[in-house]
Amino acid sequence: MAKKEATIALAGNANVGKSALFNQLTGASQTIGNWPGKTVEKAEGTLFFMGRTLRVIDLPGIYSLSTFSIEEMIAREYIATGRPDVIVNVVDASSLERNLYLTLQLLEMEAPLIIALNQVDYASKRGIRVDAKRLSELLGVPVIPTVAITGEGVEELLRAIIDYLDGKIKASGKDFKGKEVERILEKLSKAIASNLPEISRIYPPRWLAIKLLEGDEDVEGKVRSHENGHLIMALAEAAREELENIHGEPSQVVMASERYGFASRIAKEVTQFEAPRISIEERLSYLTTHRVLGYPILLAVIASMFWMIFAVGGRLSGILDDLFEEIVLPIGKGAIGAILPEGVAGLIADGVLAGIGAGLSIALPFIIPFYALLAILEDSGYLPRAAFLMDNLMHKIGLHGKAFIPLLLGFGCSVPACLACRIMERDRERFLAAFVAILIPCAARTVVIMGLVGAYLGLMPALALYAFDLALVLLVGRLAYRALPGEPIGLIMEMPPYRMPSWRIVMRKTWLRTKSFAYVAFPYIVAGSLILEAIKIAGWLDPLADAMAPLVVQWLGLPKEAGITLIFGILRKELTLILLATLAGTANYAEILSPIQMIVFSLVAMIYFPCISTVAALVKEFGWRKAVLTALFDIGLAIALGGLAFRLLSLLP
Amino acid sequence: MDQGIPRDKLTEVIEAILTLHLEGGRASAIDVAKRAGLPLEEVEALLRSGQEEGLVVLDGGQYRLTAKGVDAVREHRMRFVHERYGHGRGPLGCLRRLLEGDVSDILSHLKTKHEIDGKSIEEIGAAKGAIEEALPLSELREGESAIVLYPLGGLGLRRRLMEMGLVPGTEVTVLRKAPFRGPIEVGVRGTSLALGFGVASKVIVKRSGA
Ligand SMILES: Nc1nc2c(ncn2[C@@H]2O[C@H](COP(=O)(O)OP(=O)(O)OP(=O)(O)O)[C@@H](O)[C@H]2O)c(=O)[nH]1
Ligand SMILES: [Mg+2]
Repeated sequence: MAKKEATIALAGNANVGKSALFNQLTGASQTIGNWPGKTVEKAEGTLFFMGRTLRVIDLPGIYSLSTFSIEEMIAREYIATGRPDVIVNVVDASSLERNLYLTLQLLEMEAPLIIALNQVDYASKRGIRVDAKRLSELLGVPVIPTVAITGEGVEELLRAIIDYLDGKIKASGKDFKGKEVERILEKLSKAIASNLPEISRIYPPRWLAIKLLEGDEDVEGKVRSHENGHLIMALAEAAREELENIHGEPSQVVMASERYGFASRIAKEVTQFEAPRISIEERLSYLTTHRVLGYPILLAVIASMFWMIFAVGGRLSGILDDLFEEIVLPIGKGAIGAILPEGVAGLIADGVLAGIGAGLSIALPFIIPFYALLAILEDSGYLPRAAFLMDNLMHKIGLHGKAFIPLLLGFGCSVPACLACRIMERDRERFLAAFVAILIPCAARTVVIMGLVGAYLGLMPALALYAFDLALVLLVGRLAYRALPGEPIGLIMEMPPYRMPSWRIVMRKTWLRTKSFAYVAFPYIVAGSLILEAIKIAGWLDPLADAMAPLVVQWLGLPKEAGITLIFGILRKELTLILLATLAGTANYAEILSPIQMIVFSLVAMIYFPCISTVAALVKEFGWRKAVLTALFDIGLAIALGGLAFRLLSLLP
Repeated sequence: MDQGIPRDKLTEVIEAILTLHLEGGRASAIDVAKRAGLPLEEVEALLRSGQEEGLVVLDGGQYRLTAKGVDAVREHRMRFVHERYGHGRGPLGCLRRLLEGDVSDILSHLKTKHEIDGKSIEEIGAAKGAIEEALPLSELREGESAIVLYPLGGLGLRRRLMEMGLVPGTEVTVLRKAPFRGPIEVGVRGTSLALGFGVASKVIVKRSGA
């Protein structure tokens, strides 16, 4: 009787569609986008199919089962010791050869493998046809063609999984190496099996032999820690020498060449190419990485994004504001006044209603178009091109091009940007990238900049603030690089082809992000407004504001109420603006702030503190010490820059 | 001469013998002459002096390198790699090169001062063809194709490059080069890969068709 519950792991190269498949299987909402390295932690979901419970695991994308990065280490340990019942190797049909390199390594591990030949739709668009049946024969494992974004083939994949679990089909793959290599491997693996029975129970002896030939430190360590380890190490050393004598190349190279040789033969045999033509996508790729044109295009993409937010958001904001002021607020006030006693009614009406109103009319109109545009950008494949263009500049701050991706994501929200910094290979670079990524104005800060400077002073001053922020990122990054010296490592990144963004994915992503923004932000807005109103009624407002006056009024030149809203802004950045409206009893900021004050206020709000959620993300990724130091640095920077900006701007006529 | 490094003809000849052996082919005087692209008479004279110096032996009509000969090729290649890639070609690189003075033990010098590990050195020693044909991927122009000879650099980097498909013998095409020693986009095995300038200058290739 087969088990009722089984574990299925999705493994494959980066950006092949593992998470898209995972979402199809489990109905989850893992991040999907067109750049390599989105999934950084393994995710779990469950699904019920034909009376079974399947636990599905989404793994980070990997190119090999070596020990180059933490993700690969995690994936390899999980596959070897986590013992999933089935591993679904998701493979990109349009670049089979490279993808098969990992498949062969999975076969070496004697993993229970089923191949999902994904993106067959895209491959056939590029004139690439893969014979799934032949591929299955050659590798000895089931191969199911799929289109993860539409769900085509998912049902068949599930059936194959169930058949495999029921023992109806076998998935015992074949992996060939050249004759000499096989002979050497057999000798070595026999010795391993008889001398190291404990390890051989966990890892297949042939795989251990391969890894020893490759000089894998991790496996060498495992072998050495055993009693007979030195014996095997001596044998492996001899085998390595034999191999190198035959091939005249280091054994590592021999093994990699063998795999690629095999992969390339298989790929050739099962793939049919139709006459390749230069597609629009390729032309676009050519244009956007052009040595001269690439940079103005990058600038134009970013600027037009903000222009759209400004245009769409500004209009929507006006409409919503009128609607709220004219219709919702009077009705709401009337209703509350009728039900509740007078003191409480005032608290709710002025505090909560005004807060919600400001949240609705200021925050959402800017955030929705912004999320939509970001989702389109993420799904198109532009991010890796931007990373390519910015590689040089990123080296100046001790990073490489890939770090530009978390920076761009930072415009959406600093929390995923912090996590995305795992795209950097080493701890030092990860922290450096996060340190600057949180300075990028997130959507909440865009609400402040657009809702205040954009709406009252125009697009240009708002864009100037963004430009200033980018310059600041480079400057601060340079300083941090000086403080944390070390040789930056080079860029190695796959460049995925451009794709027409899938509208379904874009809409879904926008909706999910907006929803989570609303779910997280509105409780804060309500609570913040209530507390603020309570403080006001209790009469603590003035003493509090007066205590902060030297800093807020004298140094920054802001009205003293602004200090209080900046404190609340620690929770969420858009509170700084929304609560200002609550405090002043009007959402017409021109009555509260002068133009200079608007700029200084936005500048300080932009830099002064990563919000609570970001600090939590920093703590999780880098520990308390670094998180606190980063926060303190940002506060100091914001105060210094705010005061300077106030003085400099006041000099202007 | 085109690369500013004198091509010692004797080394060229013994390098050709090594290559012929690695390719599993015969190495008669005619084969060697063909391979090295030199006139037969000249090659014969060179081979004689090589025999005198104990670098090559004649063995049943075929030439073979002695251990000393293999070392000589390796030494030659190491010096070439050192001058060509160990230092930048700009004025700063020249200055550093001058300051280093004459390096007598080139092998340990490469290992300790230039962080090129032992495996890379072995690979360079065993590579087929004349070392002068080799150039870093970063020096190719947009649109040019080449065959990967060997990746240099530390263990981790070399492993990653090979995993991404850049094993010796692979054909690569330069698709894009960013300005000012920026990254390089190459087509490898049907996918495209962005390599930082530093990384690309560690991938040693040979122009295909050259
Ligand atoms: N045309 C087409 N596009 C697909 C298919 N599957 C995935 N994609 C697209 O491929 C890109 C990558 O998909 P993901 O699911 O995020 O890839 P992943 O393997 O999880 O990537 P990482 O987490 O970065 O390793 C997205 O832009 C998807 O829209 C498919 O079957 N057909
Ligand atoms: Mg993923």
